[in-house]
Amino acid sequence: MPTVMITDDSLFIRVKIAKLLARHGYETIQAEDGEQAVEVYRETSPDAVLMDVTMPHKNGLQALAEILQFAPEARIIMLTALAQKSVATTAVTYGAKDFLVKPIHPDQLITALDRVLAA
Amino acid sequence: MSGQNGQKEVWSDLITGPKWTLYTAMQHVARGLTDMVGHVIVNDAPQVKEMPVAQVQGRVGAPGTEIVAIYLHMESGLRGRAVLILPLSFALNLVDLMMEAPRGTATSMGLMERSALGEVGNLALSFFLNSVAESASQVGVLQPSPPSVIVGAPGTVLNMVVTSAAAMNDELLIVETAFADTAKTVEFRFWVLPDPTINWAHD
Repeated sequence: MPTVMITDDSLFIRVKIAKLLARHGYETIQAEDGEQAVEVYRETSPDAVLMDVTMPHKNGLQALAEILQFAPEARIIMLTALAQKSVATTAVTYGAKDFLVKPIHPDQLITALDRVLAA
Repeated sequence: MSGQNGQKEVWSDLITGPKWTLYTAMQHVARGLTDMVGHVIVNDAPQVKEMPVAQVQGRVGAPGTEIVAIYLHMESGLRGRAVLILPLSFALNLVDLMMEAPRGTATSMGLMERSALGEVGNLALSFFLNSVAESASQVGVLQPSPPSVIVGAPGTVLNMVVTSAAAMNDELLIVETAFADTAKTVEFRFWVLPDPTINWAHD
């Protein structure tokens, strides 16, 4: 079963996504901010990462860049309510595999994950 | 364009410019919230109000009631703060919508409930900023802070939310928009407050 790390400072979002992914056969681990995401990635090397952008301590774009430095193969999908072109451009330039705008529809998330894991 | 001038121009456009910019931004918020909760959320026309700090408390809630405020800063690009304010009963109804639970399920503000409401605040301000960003490229990325959810008496909430802004001015400039679901089980006000240090009204 693929393992997905869910990184979001919102407990509500982490739990909601974890339940959705469990229904589709994924195992999940969680991180509350970008700093924790980097540490957890080093320890567990999940198959994919769902990463919020706006988080305290270290934001998602900083965590994305840091993880890709030591794990260039990392499959990271950004999740954010910030549908601003410069945010999406930065995420893709840094190496995100996809960029989804909140609120995210379950089908959209599963499709994006399946696509990233198949690549 | 420099940061301060860019901010001044954007706030000036929003507050004193054509109303459609502000209207469009609040409609974006309503659409985003509709998508989020799965129920239609509509908004009234935004109102720009300049009011003495002493009057602001009355708009937050009646003494003796318990209210919920979801408070965020605008962290980059455009400086200011935003607050969603609603009575506790409506906040619990909103939590039920978020959790896809029958109305009456949420009865108190635990960690999960606060987190759900925080996400409402995050999305509301993000969609507002997304809309403003479409016409305000000179100020870069517009980003909210992580949200804080405050539950308490109107006076307590007011002190926490507006104290630093109020310390600089006797009056507060507030862009106020009312939102509700069509069944009127959830009603709240969304306040956007420009940073009072930006002298946006004067050249």
